[in-house]
Amino acid sequence: MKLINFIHTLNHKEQHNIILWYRISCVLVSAMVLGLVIISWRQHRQLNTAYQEWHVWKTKTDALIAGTKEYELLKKQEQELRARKTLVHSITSQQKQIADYFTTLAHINKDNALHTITIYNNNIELCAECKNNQAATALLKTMEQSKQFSHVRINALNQNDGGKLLVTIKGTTKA
Amino acid sequence: MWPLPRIHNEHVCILLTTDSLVCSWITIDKTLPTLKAYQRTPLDTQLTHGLLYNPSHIAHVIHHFLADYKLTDSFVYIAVDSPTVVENIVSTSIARPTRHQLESSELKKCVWDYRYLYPYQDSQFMFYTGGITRPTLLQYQLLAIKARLNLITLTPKNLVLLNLYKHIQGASFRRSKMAQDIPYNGTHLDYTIPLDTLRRCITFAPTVHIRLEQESSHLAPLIGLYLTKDTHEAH
Repeated sequence: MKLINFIHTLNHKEQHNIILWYRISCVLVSAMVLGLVIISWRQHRQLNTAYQEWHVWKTKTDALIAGTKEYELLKKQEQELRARKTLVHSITSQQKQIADYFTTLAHINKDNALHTITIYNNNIELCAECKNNQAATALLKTMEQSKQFSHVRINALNQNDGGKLLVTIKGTTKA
Repeated sequence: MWPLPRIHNEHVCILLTTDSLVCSWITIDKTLPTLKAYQRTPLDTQLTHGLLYNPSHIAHVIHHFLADYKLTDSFVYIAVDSPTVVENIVSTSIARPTRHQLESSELKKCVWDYRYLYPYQDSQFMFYTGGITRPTLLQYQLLAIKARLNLITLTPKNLVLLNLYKHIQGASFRRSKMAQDIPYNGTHLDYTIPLDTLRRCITFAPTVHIRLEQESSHLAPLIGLYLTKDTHEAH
């Protein structure tokens, strides 16, 4: 026969179940917290190890990076120096060549008096005083035979006040 | 266990009548309930007209009983007798009446319920109705708070006796036989359990010394009250 109960409470079975549920929940929560702590501790440890490795590698790579930067700087400086050297070399060689031209022209015109020599790019213009036509032609031929000049021609031939010929020869230099 | 209140897996049954307060500690030993502690305290005017006039004294007695036997935080069952509970036997021609059909003017003020008893003569059906007024119920709830009782049952004494009767009958329980065994004398159910039957229902711990002839009227409801524990489980 079902009992009449004037109060509505949890019976002893339900109270036991609540206590059991509470204990199980406590155990599970504790286990979860413990698990989280263990996992976090392990991850923290791994992070520490990784950080230490990173620090070691950073020390090594810092030197490497510094070396690379220095290499780049030196390389740049070397290129600049090389460019300057090339420039200096070209200027030196050009001046030397001009000097060679002058020497050659002076040697060719040892019987004639040289007035002007103009060298612009590969063009050369020579103005000399010759005794007669033959001397001017001989000068032209000598310049043609020279290995340093080509396309040599007489551009102008004038007689000055002393009766001597002022010959203007144009040509190109051989690089 | 914090934050939940502690519970002690023991069952304390209390019977409260106009003339006595009976506290008992019953456990199950193998198959039979065993009375491990029993204390009857006579009451003078503490419980009059169904109202608790000195709840502090009653709480003190119960609290001491629990403390003496280290039964604090146990499950407490209380059975109360008339006039604390408003009881009626109602006969009706309807087999399944509604609450409204059984509700009397007295019960309208009460927290109440009803149970079917047995079929009666001339196609009548007998129902038991039991209720308790709200102020009285509040008094018992305050008593439970004051005495720090884990009160889980507050029930009428007569219904507890019917429960014991059903338990004694076991599988052979029949409502028609119940009508013969528990006759209705016009005002209440007249049911007395024979002493030898009572002896078969319970064993006594060696420390308990009571005269069963004198205490049977109190002990029977307590056994029935203890058996409601199984009724709870059956629910």
